[in-house]
Amino acid sequence: MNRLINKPSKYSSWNLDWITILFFTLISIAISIPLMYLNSIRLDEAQSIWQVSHSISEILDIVGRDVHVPLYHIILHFWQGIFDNSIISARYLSLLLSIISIPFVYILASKIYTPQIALMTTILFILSPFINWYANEARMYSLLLLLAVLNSIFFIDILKQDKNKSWIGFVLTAILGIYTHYFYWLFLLSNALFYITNYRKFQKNLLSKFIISSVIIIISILPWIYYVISLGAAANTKPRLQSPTSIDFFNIFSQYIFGFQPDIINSIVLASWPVVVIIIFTSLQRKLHYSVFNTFVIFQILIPVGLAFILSYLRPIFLSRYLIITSLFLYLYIVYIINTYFKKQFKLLYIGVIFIIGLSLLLQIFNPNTPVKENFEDISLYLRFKATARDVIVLSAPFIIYPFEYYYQGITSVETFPIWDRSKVSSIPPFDSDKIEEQVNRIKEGHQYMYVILSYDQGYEKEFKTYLDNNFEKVGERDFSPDLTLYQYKIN
Amino acid sequence: MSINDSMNYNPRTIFLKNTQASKLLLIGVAIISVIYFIFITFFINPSNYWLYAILILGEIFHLWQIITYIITIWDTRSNNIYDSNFKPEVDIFITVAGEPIEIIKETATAAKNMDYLKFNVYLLNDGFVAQKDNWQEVEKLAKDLNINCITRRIPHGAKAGNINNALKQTQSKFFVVFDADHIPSKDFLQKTMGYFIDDKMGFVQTPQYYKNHNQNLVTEGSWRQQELFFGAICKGKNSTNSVFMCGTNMVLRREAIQEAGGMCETNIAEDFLTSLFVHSKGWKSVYVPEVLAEGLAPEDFMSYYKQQFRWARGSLEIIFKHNPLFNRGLSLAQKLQYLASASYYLSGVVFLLNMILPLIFLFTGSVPLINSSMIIALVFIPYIYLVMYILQRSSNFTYSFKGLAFSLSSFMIHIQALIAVLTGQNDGFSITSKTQVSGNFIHLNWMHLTYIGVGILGILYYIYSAGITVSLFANVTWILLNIIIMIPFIQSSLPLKQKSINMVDVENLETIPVVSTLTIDK
Repeated sequence: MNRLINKPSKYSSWNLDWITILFFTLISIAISIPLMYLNSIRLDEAQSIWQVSHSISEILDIVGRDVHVPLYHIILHFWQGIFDNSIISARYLSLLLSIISIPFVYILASKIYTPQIALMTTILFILSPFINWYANEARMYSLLLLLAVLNSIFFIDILKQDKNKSWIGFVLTAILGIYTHYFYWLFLLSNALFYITNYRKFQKNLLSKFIISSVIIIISILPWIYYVISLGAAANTKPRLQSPTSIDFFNIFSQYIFGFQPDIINSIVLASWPVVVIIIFTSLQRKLHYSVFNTFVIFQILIPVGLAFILSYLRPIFLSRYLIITSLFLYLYIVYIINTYFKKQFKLLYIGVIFIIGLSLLLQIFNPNTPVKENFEDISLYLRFKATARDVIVLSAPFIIYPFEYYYQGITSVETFPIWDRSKVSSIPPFDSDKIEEQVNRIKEGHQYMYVILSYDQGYEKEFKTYLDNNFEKVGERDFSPDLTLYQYKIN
Repeated sequence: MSINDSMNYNPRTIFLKNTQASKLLLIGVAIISVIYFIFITFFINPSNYWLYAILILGEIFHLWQIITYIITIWDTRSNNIYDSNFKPEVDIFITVAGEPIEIIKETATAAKNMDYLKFNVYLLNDGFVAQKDNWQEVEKLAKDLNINCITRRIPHGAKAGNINNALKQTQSKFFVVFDADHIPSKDFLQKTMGYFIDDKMGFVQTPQYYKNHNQNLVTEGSWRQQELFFGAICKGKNSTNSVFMCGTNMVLRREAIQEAGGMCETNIAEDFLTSLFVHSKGWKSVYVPEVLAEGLAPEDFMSYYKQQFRWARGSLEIIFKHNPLFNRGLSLAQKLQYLASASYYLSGVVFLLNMILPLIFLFTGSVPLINSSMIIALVFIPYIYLVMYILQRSSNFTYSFKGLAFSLSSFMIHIQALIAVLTGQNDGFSITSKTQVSGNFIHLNWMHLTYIGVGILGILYYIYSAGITVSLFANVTWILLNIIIMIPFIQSSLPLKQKSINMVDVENLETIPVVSTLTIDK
């Protein structure tokens, strides 16, 4: 067992590490705060704000139907009770959770590898465009990441030293994690698989304790499962996902490293995949000690992504943000490779990686065509002044009404296509090709112009637009952000 | 868990430890390799059929290499009988052909000082027939050290002939072969002779360790290649009784060699072919995974080049002239092992063909397969990662990029050897230099430099004719990978930092009037 415990490192600049981390954290905050104010609310955020504006029992009901778990929403509910119910205050919560993660990322990386690797990984984590994006989003991902980091720390402590407080922390963070996101199970499963495949390398008594812990964790989620089942049908208020392709598989890793970039950059990055082969070949270096925790890192990179990819053929669930935990382990492994295998060139390579990551972050921030940007603020403001009381605004897919109505304060009536009366049904009605004419006629009645906002294609966007183009005169068109376009039709 | 700690690193033992990879992992790699092959071959539509054929032939070869490697390292534990009390008389043969006298002296002295009951040291002096200036000095050295010297006057069969000549003049039932530069440890005989308690044990082989592996780029690259062979591969061959002789640091039973017709004088890699004959007569062999002698790696690029050429040509000759598949005396496992070892030298052709595929795309736009590059990546990346991982795992993480780079970049040596075998060219055999030969040998890498040049031209041509496309990036990355692989090899062919320069005659020894001289070491 002793060989698993880190020896005191020669790298003694502990304080300097923390100062460096603090410096980069301040840079990150300095970037994040203006962005929180500048970026428009996005669909998911709008749903968060809407969901947590209800009472606790209503939140449980809404979240239960919304294929999520409620911890983040409950925290956000109380947070907004203390502050206000704006998107900005909600984003501050995510930022805070993300900042809290930073020292724990350093501690985790130190436990797995060395303080030097830990410092390098932490800087990468702070500058990561992907992490930054979700540190500024009013969703549960920064909480998910924090809990995973804490859980990993406890998990490694258990494997090294088997202390009671580590077990308590492990079980507690596991329970909180599974109440934060369903994908936390994939993370826990990777831990379990790592332990099962390497259990001979650890103390024998751990097995029974892990079994007991697993039972406690599983029991803890049963009330929620019972509650969700008792709710009946899930609400259909989310974008429909496609089954992933091989491109999506690699795109996830590309997003973790380069953030969200326009298609052309993404295509070049993906086309250059043989770079991975170069890395595999050149990283073949003599190694004196193969740490078992290296396998832990590899498991955490490949198993959740691989499982999500496979499961997505049953039900499409393959989204990079659901697997945000993987990004941290990917950074850790990249730094490990650089530091361990390229001893002579590691500084140069690391600076190169930091430069690319930093550049990607800046591109993601300042490029208006960053694909995940959703400019509902500008489109709402535009329509507030452009559309009149005689016009109608139509939103398709219907769920974009959440971010739209967050900003929109105009006098024009707002409809969705397909027509969705939220006061009567919680689920969005399914699209019916035969009802296009009937629904459009209902919407257009008594109006002069129809302002159609198309976003989040749910498979019928093209058909709907073709119908409008064929039957009405299109008098205007404007893109507000990638996948957010406004069309103006003269209808009467 | 310090990962950069080099305090406990022992290069003499590190490559021999922990070579047994998990069977589950090996099965997993075999399965994914087969899946990859089936996927590439049957599930992706060909684009250009010629290029597709090239690609698939390469993949068949790679699959063969991977599967035979997995079979080889399936079990790296030895269960041969050993009796430390078995101590028969042994003759020690130190083969000499003009090496510096100090080197011979060091080896002979070490041999003389070995801890063992009864043994006789012989210098098998081929300096006279190889027309070396110091052949008389060797005789004097033997006299000074009070050991025997057998100087050949009639050249025949090079090193194998030298040993056969000595066998006629000596008596012991067992004999040891050391190259002049391989210094045995005191316990060499104690650690090896006990295996001959088994009456069917034909020979015992020990590692060929290069003590100068850190001297320069050539010695380092050379040793990186050897580590894998003398680590997992030789240990694995134990389980199928197919360890073959490596020319030095070996103990042989006279009867086994005589039954096999003596050391084979007709092949450039005499030790390899003699092993095959010995095994086909039903004799056994064992590999002792312990460094019991220290030798010298080729110290300059020219010597390395010639050494590799000899090995490649000798091995390829076995495929074409003594194919183990048709040898009735060998077991199926032995046939497979001999074929796997010999066919390694066909990898040069495969590497060259793979290398030119991206170049063909740049100039013609033709590709072997019609499909999304990402689908191929999805299968290829885990496949190549796992293959590299088992290479590392089975070598106790000693296998490195440098070893890989030297192996792959030797493609022109392998191709030249193949051409020589197919055309029956009579290349002279030369001795691997024991001291560094100075000079710039970049010309030997003309093909590598041509590839780089054509690659650059191809990129410019493609941009000029088709502009900057996504496909350009994919193909440029493949070219870049090939160039990165070549860099250590090209670097090694440039003038090296001199440590000891003794010009050694590495001329083509075919000029010797009577027959030819053969390789001195392997």
